[in-house]
Amino acid sequence: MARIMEEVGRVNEPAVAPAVFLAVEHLTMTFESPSRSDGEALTVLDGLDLTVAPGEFVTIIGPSGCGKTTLLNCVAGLTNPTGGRMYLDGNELRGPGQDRAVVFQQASLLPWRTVARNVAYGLELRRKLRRAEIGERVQRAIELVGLDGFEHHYPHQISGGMQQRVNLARALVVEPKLVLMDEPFGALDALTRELLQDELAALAQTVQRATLFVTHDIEEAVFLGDRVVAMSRAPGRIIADIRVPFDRPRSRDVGDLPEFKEIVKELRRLLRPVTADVDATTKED
Amino acid sequence: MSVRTQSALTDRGPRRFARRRRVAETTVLRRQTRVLLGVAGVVVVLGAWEACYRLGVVSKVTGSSPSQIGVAAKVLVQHHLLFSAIWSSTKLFLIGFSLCVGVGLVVGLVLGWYRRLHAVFDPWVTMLYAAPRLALIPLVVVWVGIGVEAQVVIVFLVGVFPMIINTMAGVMAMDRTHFRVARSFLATNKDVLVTVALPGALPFIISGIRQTLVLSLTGVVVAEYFLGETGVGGLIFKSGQVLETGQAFVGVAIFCFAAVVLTVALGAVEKRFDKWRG
Repeated sequence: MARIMEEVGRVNEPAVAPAVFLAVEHLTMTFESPSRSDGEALTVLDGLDLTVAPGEFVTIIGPSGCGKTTLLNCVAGLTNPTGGRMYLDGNELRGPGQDRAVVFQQASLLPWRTVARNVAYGLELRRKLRRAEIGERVQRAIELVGLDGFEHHYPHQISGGMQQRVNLARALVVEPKLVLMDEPFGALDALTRELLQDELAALAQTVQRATLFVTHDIEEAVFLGDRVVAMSRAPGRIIADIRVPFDRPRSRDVGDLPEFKEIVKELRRLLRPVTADVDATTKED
Repeated sequence: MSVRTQSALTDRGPRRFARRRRVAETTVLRRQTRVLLGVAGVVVVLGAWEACYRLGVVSKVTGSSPSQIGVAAKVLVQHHLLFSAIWSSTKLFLIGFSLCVGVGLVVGLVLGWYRRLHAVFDPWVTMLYAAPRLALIPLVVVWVGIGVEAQVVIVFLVGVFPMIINTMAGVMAMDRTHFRVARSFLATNKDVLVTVALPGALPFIISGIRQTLVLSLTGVVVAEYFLGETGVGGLIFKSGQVLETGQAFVGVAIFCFAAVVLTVALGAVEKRFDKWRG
């Protein structure tokens, strides 16, 4: 535990305090589990603080069950936290809002809508734009993620990687201030995942939009993020906040740099399951 | 001795395993072959039936044959009985079936969407669905009489439940992720119903329509048997009572034909709505 605190101390010393775009203050999430007879509540997030600067790409990494998806859901407004406050661009967040868009895990496309109609979904629900305007913006978003020519395909007719591009386009087309991504590449095969990571890195460079990206893949977190935030197992707390020093646009070769490997190694050490630590200490004793 | 046992064992061993093992395989037929075999099946059965009748295997008094059915149909047409019966049954079917689909759809949607209403009415739906609803016929006669209205009530009682249950199940089976997507884009309850729940429930709804279709036809036959002996059902009933089995079979053939045509038509409709499924 002392080592962890030390870690946070070491990485939490920004040279210049950056402007705050998203502020998560003391976020707490406790689930009353109805299935448990003892009535004991499960604390998933315990007073979590996090800030994101304008245009910053922050990746959140942690073992499964650490509450990283819960954190994302709270920011998205899909889950009501039991405690704490969140501010985006100075406005307090309550419930879902037009200023945020979520890129969900796979299989979130509406299977009865074509690619174009899926991308248009968010805009249609806003009922603000005329049909022609929606069409134009959808077309632009589809081109942005490289899916032109597939507008009239149904989700089952395209690959998993392409489906996730649609997912991305559906979130970007509403021009949110903050993009929230929940392990969007988790279910893809390794090659497709790398390809989409490359494209997302390039896209992040052009779009320059504040992003929270949840993943359990360490290399992915370091490759994509301006900052990597590591979380501990439940109750979820931030155990490290590491600034990734590489310039953008980043190429795959970044992965070969010693600094990259150093960060990955450090994160791997931090995220190792607690049981393994216990084993190690027992042996030392 | 031991040598002999040894050899007996070794002799038996290979033979047991040498027997050719037939590994499972599937048979794939070409469409042409399939249609041909289907038609051949119908022709052979009808031919055998005709042969049995002519050879006296089946009684000429109580039995019938395909050619006799043809003759009976001709007689019915000549007496202007057939088409009026068909028209009467068609009317009853259309009214009853539309009511089943319309009411079933609305009730199913409401019960699938509002969890409290579902909790209240689900036991009733389940109970009535499982119960032999034909037992209610005497009560229907008491309350509604034996006219067309009573017949419609019977068709409705027989046919409406699969529609309710399937629509309800479809709405309730709404995909959680899709719901979250809709919510993240600030969808209202109505948005979720129209853009997520209903399209997702469509396969269930069509399956409900299919079951309701078949049951409505059954309902028509039953209503016509018991209430007024009208239409094609009444024709079958009356013919049976006077041993006119040929005429009875004409009615049966009409119902079979109607069932096939309606199911095929529904299949075509289903295909139009179903192109998003793999």
